[in-house]
This record gives sequence, C-alpha cells and structure tokens, in this order.
Amino acid sequence: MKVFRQQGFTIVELMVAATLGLLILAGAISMLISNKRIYTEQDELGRLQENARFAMDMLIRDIRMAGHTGCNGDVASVENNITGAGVVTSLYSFTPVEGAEGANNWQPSNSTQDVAGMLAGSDSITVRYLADTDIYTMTPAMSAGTSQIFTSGGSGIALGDVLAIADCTSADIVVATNIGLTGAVGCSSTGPTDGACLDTVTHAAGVVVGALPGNAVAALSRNYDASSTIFRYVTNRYFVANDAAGNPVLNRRSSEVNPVNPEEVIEGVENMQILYGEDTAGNDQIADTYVTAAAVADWDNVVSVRVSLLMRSVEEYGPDQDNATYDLLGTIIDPVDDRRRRRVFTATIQLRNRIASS
Amino acid sequence: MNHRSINSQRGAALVTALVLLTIVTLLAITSMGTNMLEEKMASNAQEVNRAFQTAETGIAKILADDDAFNTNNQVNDNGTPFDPTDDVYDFTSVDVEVGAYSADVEYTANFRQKTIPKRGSGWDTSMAFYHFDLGAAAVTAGPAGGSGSNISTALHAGAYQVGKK
Repeated sequence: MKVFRQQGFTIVELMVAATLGLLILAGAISMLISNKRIYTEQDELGRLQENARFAMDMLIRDIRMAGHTGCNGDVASVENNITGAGVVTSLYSFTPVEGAEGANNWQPSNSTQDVAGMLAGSDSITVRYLADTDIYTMTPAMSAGTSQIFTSGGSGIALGDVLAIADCTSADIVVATNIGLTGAVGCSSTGPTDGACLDTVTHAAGVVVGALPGNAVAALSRNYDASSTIFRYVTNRYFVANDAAGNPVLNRRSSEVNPVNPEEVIEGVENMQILYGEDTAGNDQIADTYVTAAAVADWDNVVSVRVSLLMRSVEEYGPDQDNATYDLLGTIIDPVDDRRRRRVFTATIQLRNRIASS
Repeated sequence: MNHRSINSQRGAALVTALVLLTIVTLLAITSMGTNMLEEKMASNAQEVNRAFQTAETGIAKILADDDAFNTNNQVNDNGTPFDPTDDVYDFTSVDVEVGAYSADVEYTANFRQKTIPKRGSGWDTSMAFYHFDLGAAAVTAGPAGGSGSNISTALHAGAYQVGKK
C-alpha cells in the first residue's frame, strides 16, 4: 500500500489554530487601545497641569507685587497725570488691587470700563505696582514741577513709557514725552550714551504719538529731590474671555503693552474666582474674612487674595462625559457637559506691600 | 507524525501581534518622555517655591539683625555705592537647612530716605522715619548629596525705623 504524504490539515487543527490566533490578536489589540487611552489621558492631564502651573505662577507673582512703591507701603499720595482719548483711565489710577465680579463694575473705582469680552460668571482682578526691575535713581534734583528728569545714561527709558517718580512721601505717574541725552562729553545717539551722560526725560502735557496716553499737565505734584526713584509703572488686568474659536482663555491687559489691548495668555482656563482677605479687626495684617470684590468694605484693608482657577483639558477625549459641578471658593460652577477633564487649582497670596497706614 | 518546518508555517497572528506591540512600545516610550519632562517641571516649581521661602527667611533675619538698620548702608539700586565715603553694608550669608535640603540666603539692608512723621501717626516732629530697602537672595542647593538645583530668588521688602530727627 502506497503511503501518501499528508496534505492539508484537519478541521480540528484549523479551529485550534484560528482560536489561538484570534486570542493573541484580541489581546494585542486591547492592549494597544488601552495604551492609546492612557497616553492621551496622561498627555492631556499633563498639559492641563502645565497650564495651571504657568497661570498660577504668573498670577501669584503679579498679585504679590501689588502696591509696590519701593517704600514701606504707605506712600501718602499718588498723583496720576495720565490722560488721552481712548485711554482706559482706570488702568492708570493707582489702586493696588481692584476686582470685578463677572462683568460688573470694577471695585473700588466703580468703573465700567473694559468689561467687554469678560465672561459673565468669572471674576477678574487688576493689580498695580511700580516695577521692581529697571529702577533708576534721579539725579540731580528737579528745580520745578515741570523740570526734565535726569538719570544715569543708558537707562533704556523709551518714548511713551509710563513712569512713576516716587519717594517715600508721594509718587507721580507720567508718560515720557521726549527722551534725550545730556552731558559734558558730547553725548548723543551716535556718541557716548552712558557713563558721564545723563538721560533726560520730558513729561510735557498732551498726547504723545498716535494712541499712546499722554500727560494731563506737565507739572508734577512737587519737586522731587535727588534721592527719588524712577520706576516703571505697571498695571496688569486678568480676566477670562473666549478666544476666536470660542474656548475660554486667561487674558491679560497690561499697561506695558502699547496700545493696551488684551493678550491671550493661557488656554484651558474656564473660570476664575477670587476672594479678598480683609483685615477687619486688630490691624494685624491678618485676613479676618474672605469676601468677594463686591463685598469688600475697605480696599486699603485687603491684605491677601485667594485665587481659584477651574482648568480644563484643551481637547475632548475618552468616552466619559464630565457631568460634575466644581466648587471654586464657595461658588459652584457647572461647566458644559463635554468629554474634557477638569481640575480646580487654588492659591492664597499675601499682599506684601499692603500695610494698612497707621 | 509529520513535522512541518518553521519556514512552512503560515498565519499572521504573530506578525500582527508584534507590529501592535511595537506601536504600544513606541507609545510607552513617548509617554515616558513626556512624563519625565512633566516631573522635571513640577520639581522645578517645587524648588522655586523652596527658594522663595528661603528668601523669606532672609527677610526675617534682617529684621532681627541689629547691624542692618544703619544709615551708612547706602547703595544705589544698580549696586554702586551711593556715596563713596559711606560704608556699604556687607552681604551676610546664612545657611538654612530644611530637612535633608539646604539653601543659602544672603541679605542686605540699604538706607533709602528720611521722612518726617505723617500727621496722625502718633509721632511728633522731633522724630523721623528712616526708610530701608531690605533685600534677600536665596539659592537652593537641592537634596544633600544630590546635584545642586541652583534656583535663586531675590526678595525686597521695605521697612522703616523710627528714630531721632
């Protein structure tokens, strides 16, 4: 009998092979899917945390500086000379901290300027201070309130810069309307610019160039002496607004950017709630109550600020719908039910330069 | 029994599974890279906070330093002596140990200005307020035995002392 070589395989063999193959493939595919999901989750949460960290870092840094004048917090009078058509004047009045509930009036100035675009359910805050970087010592003293201001050459003060001339008694906020150089050794834009040279800053009345703000009057409130300091004046206003695509982003409006337009700073900030810590008893610089901007009794007594951000992932992902509500400092936020992840970040910031006047 | 050599085997399960595993591995490696970066950023944020707190310690140290509040301690804000005949207060370095971490802080106090007491402040005109600018610069050294993180923070605070005019 002739023995044939076996050809093909039995149905049992085929079924066993197919089952094993399918099992292995199913295992590998489910692993791929779950890994892809983990990857997206980590990536999105990482981005969310990164955005939150950056937003908080910026807010904390700025709010902590509020009211800085280079002295021990009780400069008696700050004269604001800024004027000009289209200038958001509330940006330049020197109240260290100002807040608004949603798009309501700003507290304490009651200004309704610059509320367009702000999301109604989200708070906003304005901080003002004299910048601690780029400090120039004035030398020599002013002989009259309208005098040019002199400082060592190479200061980098530019036309249209908003400056504050300050000592520990008072401060004047002005716009530099002309910049020059003076000195015995032929100082000019082509010659030597620093060392023996002095930068001169003119603060004439009237608007300087285009949309830049200008000075209402040329005369400062008094003649500042040689121990006075020239600071850069900074106002930063933070609020949440929608970007062109309709996603909420943290916006900043800064007096250092000319013309003063809102800039989008950090994406994924859905809501910002702010409480102000007021020292109502004991004059001990310790916050006794935390209240909303509308409920602050005396802004001079605000010694700390508590900020809470509701951050959301930039993209929608995964199968889970977010139906939760979030508690931001007592305000319950119910965001759109979508497939984004959300986290709440809170920080309390001491206002180092707010020392209630004794 | 018939033996089929490895070369004559057919079927795609092994190859497909290997391809999928490669993709999973790539995902894992990318994810690991992202996470390591995140971890670095988070620890950096932590070190920045540590440097800030250390600088705060420096400010507290100046307030306790009897030599700091001296009107001879004058410098311009750009660090050059305000008046060459005056002594400039020396930076003082203080080591601050926080658990297994260490950080250095240097502090200084500069006399800025003398002002007369404000009305209603409770001080009469025979007294004056001497304003000082307090500065503290902190550098973190990181965990003991580890590589230094070298994150620095500078803080300034204003203070005044009431003295005779």
